[in-house]
Amino acid sequence: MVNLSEYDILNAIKRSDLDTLRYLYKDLYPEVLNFIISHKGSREDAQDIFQDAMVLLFLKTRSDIPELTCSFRTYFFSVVKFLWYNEFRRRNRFAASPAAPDELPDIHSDIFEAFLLMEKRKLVMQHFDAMPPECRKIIRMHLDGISFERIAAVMGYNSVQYTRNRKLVCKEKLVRSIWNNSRFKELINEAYAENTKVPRW
Amino acid sequence: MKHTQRIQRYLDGKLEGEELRKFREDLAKDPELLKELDLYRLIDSTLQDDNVDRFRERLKEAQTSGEESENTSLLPGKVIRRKSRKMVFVVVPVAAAIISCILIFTYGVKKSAPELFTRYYHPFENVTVSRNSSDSLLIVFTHVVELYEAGDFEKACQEIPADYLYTDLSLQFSFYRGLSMLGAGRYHEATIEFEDILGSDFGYFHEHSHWYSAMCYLELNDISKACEHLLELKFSESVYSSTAAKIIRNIR
Repeated sequence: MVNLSEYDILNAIKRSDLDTLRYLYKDLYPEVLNFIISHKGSREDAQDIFQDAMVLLFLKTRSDIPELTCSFRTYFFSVVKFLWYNEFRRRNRFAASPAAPDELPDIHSDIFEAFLLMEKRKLVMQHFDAMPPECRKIIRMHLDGISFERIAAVMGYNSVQYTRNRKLVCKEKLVRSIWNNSRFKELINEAYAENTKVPRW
Repeated sequence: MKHTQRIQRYLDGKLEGEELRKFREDLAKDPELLKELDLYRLIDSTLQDDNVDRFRERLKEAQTSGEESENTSLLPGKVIRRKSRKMVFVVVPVAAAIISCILIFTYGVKKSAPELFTRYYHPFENVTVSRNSSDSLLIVFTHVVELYEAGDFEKACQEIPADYLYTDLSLQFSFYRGLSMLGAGRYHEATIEFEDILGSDFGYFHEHSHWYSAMCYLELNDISKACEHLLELKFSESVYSSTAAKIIRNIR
């Protein structure tokens, strides 16, 4: 099997190339598991963190493929450590900090933006999935560019105005539930962003 | 949560004249309003973009099938690691040092605008169109997007209706017309399409239009125009902001 460069690996992540993802999982997951277990996490945590780290890199590579000055493995594990640190801190807000692992490389300021985006997207999907099916359908159709006339016909509503109002109400409900979520507040809070831009271990 | 209606009308492009001016004024001085607007945008962009879900599915597939795959590695240095634990301490740092030198040499030096274009230009991927729609205009638009994605840029331009500016999807068509022209190497024409979008009130395509305008001007070696668009992105909360900053730093 031909070895891939760092750029090739990131490019393969960007393309969601199944073969590369398979090998990355096989090569990296055991170490992720080892790290999480030895830092008070579980097997499920390791699965989640591995997946989140890959998603984060996917989000990052969509806007541009990072220029690595270290190996992909080092980069990936710095992302894993960063994610686990944040997750650990979130769970143990009032408890003592986890045992200080190695110093984090600067690389994290680079991925912090993608991390915030990923977390906010997760929240949006959680709240959207918790909405009544009717609301989900209207919002989806509207975002797909379907006209209100057509939405009214599909949903069996009597008027276009009623359809518009339903859409507004559903959207507002979604916005309100996310807005009032404490995790969301944490993510958009400037102080939080300032303090975590350079994470302290 | 007191601006819902105004924000929704703004995002739908329904605010006009004095009302629009006032909204923009409020936006500049009210951080809460800005956060609220960002949330609306975040919701729209998240729900319109199913690429991350598709990626997670691929990852799950890789996780379940990965254990059955052959015991070989794609990662640099990793094959050696399996054979000899000792060797890794020598080979990996040396390989990392060589790769770092190559990367620093390749990417650390200033580059010309067209070189930066070659490095950073990627076709647009964030498709937001309903593939199953029976609406005739949406069917045409879907076809245009498919041609664009297939790399048939000239054909994509031809398939856009002549009266697209008067349709409900004028901005979408305009955007893909710009992208297709860019793909076809018609950079000047592409910039005109993107400028039209940037002149409109509807903000959804603005950041992408800034980005692809900048790409056109980089290829045309018009650094000052390229930087105008890159600076807009650098100081925005756009997904392109860090890359834009990087290009500005590295431009020769």
